[in-house]
Amino acid sequence: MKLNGSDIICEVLLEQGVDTVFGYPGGAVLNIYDALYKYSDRITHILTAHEQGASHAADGYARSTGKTGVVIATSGPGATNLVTGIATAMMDSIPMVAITGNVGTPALGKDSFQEVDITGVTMPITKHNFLVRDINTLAPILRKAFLIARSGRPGPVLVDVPKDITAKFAEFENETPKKPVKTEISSDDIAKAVKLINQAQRPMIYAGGGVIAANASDKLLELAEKADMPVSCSLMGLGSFPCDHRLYCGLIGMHGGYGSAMATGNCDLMLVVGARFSDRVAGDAKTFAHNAKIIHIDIDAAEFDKNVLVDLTIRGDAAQVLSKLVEKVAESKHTEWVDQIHAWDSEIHCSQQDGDNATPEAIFAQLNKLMGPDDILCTDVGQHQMWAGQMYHFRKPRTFVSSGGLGTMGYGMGASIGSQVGNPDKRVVLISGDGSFHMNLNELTTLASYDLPIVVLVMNNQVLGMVRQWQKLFYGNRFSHTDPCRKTDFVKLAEAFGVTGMRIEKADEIESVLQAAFDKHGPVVVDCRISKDINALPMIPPGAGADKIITEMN
Amino acid sequence: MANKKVLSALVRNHPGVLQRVAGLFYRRGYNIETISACATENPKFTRMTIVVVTSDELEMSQVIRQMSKIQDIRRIAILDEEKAIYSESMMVKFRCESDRRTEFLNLAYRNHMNVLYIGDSTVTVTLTGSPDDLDEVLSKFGEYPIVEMTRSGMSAIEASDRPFVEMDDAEFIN
Repeated sequence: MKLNGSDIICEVLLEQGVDTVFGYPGGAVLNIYDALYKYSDRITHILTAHEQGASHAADGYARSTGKTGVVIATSGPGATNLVTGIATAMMDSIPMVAITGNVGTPALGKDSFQEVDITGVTMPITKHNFLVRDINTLAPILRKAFLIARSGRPGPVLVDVPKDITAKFAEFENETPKKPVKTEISSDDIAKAVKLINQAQRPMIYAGGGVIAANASDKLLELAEKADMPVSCSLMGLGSFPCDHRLYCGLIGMHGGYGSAMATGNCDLMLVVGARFSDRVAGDAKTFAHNAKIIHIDIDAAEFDKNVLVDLTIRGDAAQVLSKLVEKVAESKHTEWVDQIHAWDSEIHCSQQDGDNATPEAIFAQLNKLMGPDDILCTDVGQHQMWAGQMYHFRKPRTFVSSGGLGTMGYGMGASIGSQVGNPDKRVVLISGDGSFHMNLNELTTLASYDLPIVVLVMNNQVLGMVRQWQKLFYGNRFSHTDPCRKTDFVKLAEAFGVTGMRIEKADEIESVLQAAFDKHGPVVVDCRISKDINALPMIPPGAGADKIITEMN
Repeated sequence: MANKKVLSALVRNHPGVLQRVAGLFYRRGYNIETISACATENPKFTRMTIVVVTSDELEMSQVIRQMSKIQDIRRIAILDEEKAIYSESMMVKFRCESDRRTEFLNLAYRNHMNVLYIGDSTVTVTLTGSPDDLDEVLSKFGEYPIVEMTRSGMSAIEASDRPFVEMDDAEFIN
């Protein structure tokens, strides 16, 4: 049958199993939006306040559901507003397809109104991108975009569609989506890994986002239990291993626990699964796990020996590699070693109290009681994000939605919208800070429009806390532009947007206010007033090891 | 120790491919010494010959692995120096006053140069050969100042009866 470009876009979306898209209309995508009107019974479009919010929403949708997120924006500023969201997805390997409009092909390259070379702009921050110049290539390009986005190491793909292409007609037939091809796993490598694991006296696992991307959490648990290997997670790996398990050692890296840090330095075998030795984990790449043989499992060969040199690499899908390992490794016990790691953890104390005022610790303690294992916690970026990593009870994969690699302040509002839209039956809570929240709080209007029952907890310490913490540590308390003296009243602000506003000041208000917020079953902002001198602790300074861990400040 | 390698890449003949490769090198701080690219016998493909200088073998393997992730690159390999044939062409405009022209032309012909243009006070020549050959020939013209020069960058091919990398355009869209 003959369809126009806009109908072809909708047909390919349906063919790829997409029933929800995020976006914002504009001149160059008028035809696409006209088709979305026609397809509105099969494709739900969520309109955000700003394209950035839509891009983070598509990302949060992808992280929390495991499906590919789709975002649509118009040409020029619409497209450039997606840039931060696309870069965020790229750094954390999130499958996303961004469809942008552009001026008509005859107007391309003429500096036309709202024209921007978005494929040029996004080249370094997409897995791949396409500019559609011929209507007959539109459907194949869109299919390829979805295939690339979800193949191997997932990532964002952008398809730029000039306006005339969205109106031109082409022959269209539905096709079954192609399945990503899985990499063949070397049985030699598996045998070598099994030998190393069986020989190890003090083994540990460093699990990253790849475990979640590959849906390999069950296999990770099986392997850890069979070989009795303790597990530390990178920020991206949080949720891949249940936090109440005796083998769980918590977060690893700059704000990870002392146990994780000491285990890293003292283990004789480190099994790294779907992680990339980022500078926030391997502060000093040269001495990282220097007493250990390191086995690195990853789907992306370019991660091997990039930051830290390892002894054995296994390329492949984490779930497949782990299940082969589970089959072959010997059952063993490393009770003393596991106990030792927990003993290290109990050697340091970072509890920060503030009289009868509310503290992050007390807020998280209450949140942990209210949140079920399937509920979703989103964060922005900063101290509150690290508190979440340290104090939240992670139990299942895809329940923690946070910008790890790019560290995007302002990510949380959009991400929580995407998480809630993708998981209407789950509780979604966004932990933000007053700095991050100020960046994209315009999306409160989206919460109100769609009546999304998201509870936003703003850890309001009145300062840009993480930067200020670094100014305390490394810049002699010169608080350059981290104390913005803002007068925003978050309760009134929420109400202006049609969202319920609440406030917590004293510790004894936490239980009742959080309960009231949860009972609303509608959008709520809770202004959580906390001291500006509560820090994200412990902290290992950049480039240092466990011996330099900071447990108290001020 | 600097490590120099010649990469041969078969890429999709499509706008933007050169930008993707150049962007990767810029972004990750790899050094390109020369890059040459042109369509092949199959119009769907461009072959790029890239001379890369890296600090060590590890960085070289990173270059290959990162390049392999560019969707438009179909095949990429390091040419074996023993088995490869290299060629580069250059055009040079030498300062040469008319009274020394005969002497200059004799030298040029002895070195297998083609003369492209004779001006009032310059002679423009071209020569093709391995980069080392070109350097060596240039050194013999020391007494003739160079007014302008352009070199194509190296291109290379394996000295064997089979293609070094097979073309496979099955998945191409265009």
